[in-house]
Amino acid sequence: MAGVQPAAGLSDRAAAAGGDLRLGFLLAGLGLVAALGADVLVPGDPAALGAAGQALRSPGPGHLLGTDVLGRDVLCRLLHGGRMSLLVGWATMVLATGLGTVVGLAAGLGPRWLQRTLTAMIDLFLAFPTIYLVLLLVAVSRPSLWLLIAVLTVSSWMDVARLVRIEALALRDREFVAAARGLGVGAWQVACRHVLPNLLPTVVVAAALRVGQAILVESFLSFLGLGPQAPLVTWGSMIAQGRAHLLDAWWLTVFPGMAIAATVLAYNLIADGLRARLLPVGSELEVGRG
Amino acid sequence: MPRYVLRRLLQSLLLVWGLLTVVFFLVRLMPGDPADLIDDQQLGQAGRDLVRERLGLGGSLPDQYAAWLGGIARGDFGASLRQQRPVTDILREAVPSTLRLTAAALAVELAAGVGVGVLVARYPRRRRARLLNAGGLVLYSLPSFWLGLVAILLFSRTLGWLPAGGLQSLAAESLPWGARLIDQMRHLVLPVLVLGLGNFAVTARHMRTSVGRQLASDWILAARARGLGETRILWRHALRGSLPPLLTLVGLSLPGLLGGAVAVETVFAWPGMGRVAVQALLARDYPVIMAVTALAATLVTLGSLLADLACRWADPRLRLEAGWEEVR
Repeated sequence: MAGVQPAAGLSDRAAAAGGDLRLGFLLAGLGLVAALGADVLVPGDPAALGAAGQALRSPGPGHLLGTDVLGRDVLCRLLHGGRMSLLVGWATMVLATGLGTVVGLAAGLGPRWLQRTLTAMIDLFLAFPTIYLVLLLVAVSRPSLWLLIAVLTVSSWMDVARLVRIEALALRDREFVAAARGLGVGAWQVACRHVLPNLLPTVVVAAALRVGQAILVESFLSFLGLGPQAPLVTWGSMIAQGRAHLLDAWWLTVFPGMAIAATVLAYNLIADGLRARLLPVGSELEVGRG
Repeated sequence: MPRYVLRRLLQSLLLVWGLLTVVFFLVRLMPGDPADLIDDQQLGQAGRDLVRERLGLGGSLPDQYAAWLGGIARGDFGASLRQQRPVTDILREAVPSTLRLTAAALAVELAAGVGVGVLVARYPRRRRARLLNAGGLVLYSLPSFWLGLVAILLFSRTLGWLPAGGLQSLAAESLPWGARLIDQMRHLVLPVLVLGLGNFAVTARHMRTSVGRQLASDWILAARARGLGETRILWRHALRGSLPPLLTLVGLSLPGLLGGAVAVETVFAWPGMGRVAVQALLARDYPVIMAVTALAATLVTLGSLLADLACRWADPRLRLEAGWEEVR
């Protein structure tokens, strides 16, 4: 295949990647600081009722982002909600990426029967639209923070597993892996010491994408009232409460949504930037699933 | 029938069986009894026994499994716990609405994705191409249920241009068919745009990669050497070469569209599968949620089967390899 080149020069791609990464890290960093420092930045209990006559104040001095039906400060609730979203996003990312990597490695390098079984499992779970799988799992459990993270993990490990398996299959036949095997290195050692380090770029990009996706699904579940329950604050439940006041108090709906968008965008930008830096053009990871 | 098609059909059938199995065991093997999760106070012992019977919880696990699969093979998904009618009836009403929504959204997603993708591949340095690309990523990062709410706030409540939800107006049944069609189209606009534009960034990215690869290929160079115009080369030749990957992409974007439809249907009160799933979940109506989940996954399987076959057909190289010459 002579003359195959990316249409945009590599330098263009690298420059765009740098911009993506900077903006992504900036947004994600701001989000982390705001969520972790919520108690210092906006003192007060996000669940405590506001003083009388404070309900549904529009944004202005005193309450920068306004107050909700119960007179609670929206900014304060927004920052505390950020904790929940980031916790769910990061925890799901770690668990789903870990599970996906292990399954993917085993499906690419394990004994024949294990490869077959695991590959079939991956394909099976991939056929479900994520949200249906999530709804089914939520239906058979009671809403709680940790169950939610478990549900999100069970419904998102297969994306990572698929990518890891494809990469592991390609690496399996490379000389250095064959050499390691020829020297008598055990299967487990080959997977961890020789194959895994070479597919870390794929894993890292997939992990960054997972954070954003997990936050999106969590916010929808919270919007339905199936996420972490009060007194825990979530962005999704804030939007659900604001829905009834869409016309007279737009700030209740608009600001939490913008917070979700900014957070998800941050991790998607990081994933994009890392992808351009670490992975070849047109690699499997260009696929994103809803 | 060529061997490949037959093999692929068989594969899909196996996959659907696997999907049903996963749905069944995910629900049955979770700790706790589904009957326990349904509102405890209102249900007496008699009521709970009835629920257990309705759910087919009597008998051993393999028996239950066989009974469930057997029912589905006859087109019987059991009865809803909340609505006193068969699940199949509920699905029959919901599926056409969802298909209408997702098919229109797929068209929007493809149009926007192909347009932006080709533009970015051809003019990677132009500001407008880059802006559209960035806009796609932002839309991809927005929660679609929120985007739907904002769209309702803006275009329907504030500006009053479009209806806020539903399939059609209340009075639509009495309208002449032309006016009714327009009414239904107006109801379709917002949900379709929210669903279709939310995911076009993925399509655009794929198109950029595959069109970029085409533009750098020898046969495009040959077309240029023959003196063909750039526009013609871009839209006729490069795009044609990108058709097989695009068809694969359609198959891959189906889970996203069907899944995204859940949030969109919830916000726009669209009586489709997603809304049925959410309502069944809130009411703990297990037969319905099991059926609708299995059906959604089956639709995805069917879609990727069709996309695969279309891809074989569109790519002459694959056609030969797969023994398609048998057909001619």
